[in-house]
Amino acid sequence: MSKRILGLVLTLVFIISTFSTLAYAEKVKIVYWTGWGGSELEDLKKIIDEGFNKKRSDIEVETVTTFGAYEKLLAAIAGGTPPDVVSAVWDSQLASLAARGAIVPLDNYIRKDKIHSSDFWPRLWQSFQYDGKVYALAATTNCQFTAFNVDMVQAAGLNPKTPPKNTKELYDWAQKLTKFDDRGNIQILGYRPSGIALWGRLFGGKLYDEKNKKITANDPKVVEAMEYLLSYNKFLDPTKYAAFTSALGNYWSPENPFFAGKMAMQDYGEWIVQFGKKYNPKLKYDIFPYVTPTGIRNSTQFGGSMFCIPVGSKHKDEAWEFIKWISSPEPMKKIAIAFTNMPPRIAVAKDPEVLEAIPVLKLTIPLMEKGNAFTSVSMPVWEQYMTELSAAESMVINGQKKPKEALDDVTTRIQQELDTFLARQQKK
Amino acid sequence: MTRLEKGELRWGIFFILPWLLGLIIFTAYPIVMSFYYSFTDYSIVQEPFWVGLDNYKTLIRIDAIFWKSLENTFYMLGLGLPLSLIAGLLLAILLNMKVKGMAIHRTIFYLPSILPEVATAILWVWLFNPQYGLVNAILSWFGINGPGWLADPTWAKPALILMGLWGVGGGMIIYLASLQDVPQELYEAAELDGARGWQKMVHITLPMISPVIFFNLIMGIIGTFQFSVQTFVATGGGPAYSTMFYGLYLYYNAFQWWKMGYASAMAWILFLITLLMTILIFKTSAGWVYYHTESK
Amino acid sequence: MGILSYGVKVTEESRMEDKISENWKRTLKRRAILREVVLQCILILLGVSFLLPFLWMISTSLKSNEQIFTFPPVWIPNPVVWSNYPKALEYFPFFRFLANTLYITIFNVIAAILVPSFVAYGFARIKWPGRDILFLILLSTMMVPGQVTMIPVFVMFKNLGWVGTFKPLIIPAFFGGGAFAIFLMRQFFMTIPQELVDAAKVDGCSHLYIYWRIMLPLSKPAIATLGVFAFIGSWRDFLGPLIYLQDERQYTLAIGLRYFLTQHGAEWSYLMAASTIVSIPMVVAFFLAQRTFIQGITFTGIKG
Repeated sequence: MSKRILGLVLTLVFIISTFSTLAYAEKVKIVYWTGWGGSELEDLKKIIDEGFNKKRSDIEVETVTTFGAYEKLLAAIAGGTPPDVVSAVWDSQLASLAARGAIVPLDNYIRKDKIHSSDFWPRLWQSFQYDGKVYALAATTNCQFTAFNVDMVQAAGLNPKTPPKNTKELYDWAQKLTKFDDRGNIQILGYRPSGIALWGRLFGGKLYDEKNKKITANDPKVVEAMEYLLSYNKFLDPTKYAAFTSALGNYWSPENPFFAGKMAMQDYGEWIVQFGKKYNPKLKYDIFPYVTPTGIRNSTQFGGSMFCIPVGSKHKDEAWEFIKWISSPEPMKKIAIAFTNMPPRIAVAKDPEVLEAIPVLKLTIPLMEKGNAFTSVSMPVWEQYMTELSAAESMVINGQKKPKEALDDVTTRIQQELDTFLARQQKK
Repeated sequence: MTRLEKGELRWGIFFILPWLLGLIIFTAYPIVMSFYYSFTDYSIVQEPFWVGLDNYKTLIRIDAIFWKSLENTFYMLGLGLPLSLIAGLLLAILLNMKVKGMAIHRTIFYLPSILPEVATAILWVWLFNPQYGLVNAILSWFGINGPGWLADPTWAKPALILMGLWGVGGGMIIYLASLQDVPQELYEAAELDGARGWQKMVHITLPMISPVIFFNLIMGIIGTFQFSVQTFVATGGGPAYSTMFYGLYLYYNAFQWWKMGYASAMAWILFLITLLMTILIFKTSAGWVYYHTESK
Repeated sequence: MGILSYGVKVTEESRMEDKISENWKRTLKRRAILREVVLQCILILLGVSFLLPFLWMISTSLKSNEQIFTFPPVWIPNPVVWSNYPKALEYFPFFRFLANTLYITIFNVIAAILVPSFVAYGFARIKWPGRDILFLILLSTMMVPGQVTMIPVFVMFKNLGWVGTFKPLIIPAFFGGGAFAIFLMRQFFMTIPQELVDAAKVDGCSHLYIYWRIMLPLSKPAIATLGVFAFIGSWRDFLGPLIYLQDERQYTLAIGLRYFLTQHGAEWSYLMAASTIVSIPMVVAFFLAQRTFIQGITFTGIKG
């Protein structure tokens, strides 16, 4: 009796599994991994469906989200089952993937279909490259700045018309805007700068010397930046800060800390426009460029998702058709307006409709054109470099290491990693 | 060999064939290959590339995180493992007594250990939340200002140990079963000699279950070096590498940074360490482990 | 029991001894009650502290956000937000993950029922040269840390194109089912009287017959235990799915829950709801298989 039930269950299981693998396609189906999720994913799928899937009879794109889990790509490539196209790649990951031969150079395609590099922001086009070859195109990009809650600023007796110009003023604002409860826990966070990779640049240092292939994490300016990050411990106890951040709502939800009133200031990119509309239209905010010690405010960090073709893709030509389409003016404009991101093409970015939909572009376009616009560091052992840097930052903030010591350690270790990696690439 | 013996041999191999094949495919061959990989740079996206002793040299001489992970793991070996072994044993002894409602009690203590580890990890992350968590709330009733637990490098490991103690029911059940196997006559004889509770424990109970303690100890050591789901989910190795354990670091190297050669070298060092520790314990076991049954 | 003596002559002495033993019995009874009370207290105290996390999990899962982020903590949610559960299920595709997990688990349970006993028979009741050496090897494989074989096995599966499928999580179970399971079954088989086997052999039965018709039916509790262990082990397996499953649509409950955590970091009510949902099958399984558990461990005798 029980044997018969077992047999039935087995049969059922087999039937279910067979059905789930039935595929019926006449068009070439390509799988596209995206890092976008939530409502952005819905918008994206709609744009792709209307603009590509319905218009083309030869290719159909299946959009799958990895919800921002960008490390899954290498897992898939390592496992031998990569998607055909992927945009779940940060610009900083590009070098890592390209150096390992995990993605395909696009130069031939670009030449064949006459994509002009001059149509794109020059520095952005640079970020598409590794070792002189182009490995990606982009449909979106973002420039970053700091945003603040106008009402909170006014309530603290500060002038929203004159936001901080330099690091000292930023510290001042951060302190005045932070509120504690009677147990000493943080209730509202004014601001806490984080990310030594970013702040090292803002202080005028560089994390990587591309020409000489040298890690420069212990550049004196970067050490200075680390000291600055450490200085916030004076009014923000690290444990309490960690406790506060661990209890914050999801960034991509109405509980977003800034829009839920838990943070007075926070860093954003152009997507703040969309967030504001969706999560808290009543919140009045304004923005200002990243501060620097010198008071010159023309810096921004930009970057975004890169569209690449993994080496294991079985439909590279079709993948290229998709990339070509999504980085062309029309779709780019639609996506930019839907996501409120900065378009990679200069003409699209200056399109009046785009400018109207994304007011903050008024601040960020000049930064991108003429200012000190930089990307996050991009080099072959990027993942480990970033892990080490954030661990170093954490150790400094928690008082386990001094800034210079921590950064020296990172430099030694990652330099060694890089050297080993490059040496082995040579031999191969 | 007689015909009968040949026949038996054939039958023997026939029955153990699945395991034998599995041994070759999933154990023997991988062991050899991982030894080979440990001398290569292997990112799996590209072919393995021979580098000789480089991986080992880097691990031992330059990789500070490797040493930190060893340090962290030995911390757990020294503190967490003994605590959980003793707790499991004490709990088992307690639950072995004839008290009413034992079934309910046993259930309560055993249940946490079979919950999915992800769920328990998430639950305890919430319990340990420094501002709103239950742990600090209870501490505050006693006037203690609770630490940052998983957010504080000094307290993260103790927090993980406490988390692990909640699942001590698994080991407890095994002790319980072995306690119930101790022949009642031994206790009765001891009582006639006037032995009291404490003495019965030390002279009868402990020696009789010493093989199980021994087994749990060795498995516990091996287990502490393995990938820990709860650590992965709760802290990911932080803050500031304070919970970066050996098994976790190995996982990161192999499956997130794609340094499979390097990770293989770590695996072999691990193999060596556990082998040495096992041999050590075996040698000292003659002194305290009492084999009262023999495996035929 | 040994203090009281039996079989005494009914004499004056014995009547006096009866009186003394009456008092003694009362003292013993009092001691017994005291013992019971003390033990119960300890047990209840410990038990409550073990239960607390459970209760907290359920309590949080039914709270609204304002009630979660309060101090001192609120125990009874007011109002009880039952809608957290359907909401959590929206974000957390429980049924899909459940189906995936069941699929993998069922195969593992089948393997655990069929294979270890099969292999153990070869080690237990057949005499053949090399048997004991191989058994020693089996035991020693329990000491090999998983990490040593993990990477080459992954490479092997990758070359077969099985990464991203359920196969790496199912197929190995059919190749032995684990040294521990085989060990347990073998120990159990050793307790089955040799006479039964001998009698069957005299009747001319083949080993296959003996295995199928004699050993297996007698081993139902042990096999049931293996099945239950396999069920629990496969259900909770994390590292395997983490390494081999890449598409969220294939995720198991364990991985899915962690994935949920990375997506909805601090949404504790949903997280607790999802965690509760994921834990329930285990609780149910335990209550169903309780007796099998304890029986099974005692039967197979983890000693020596």
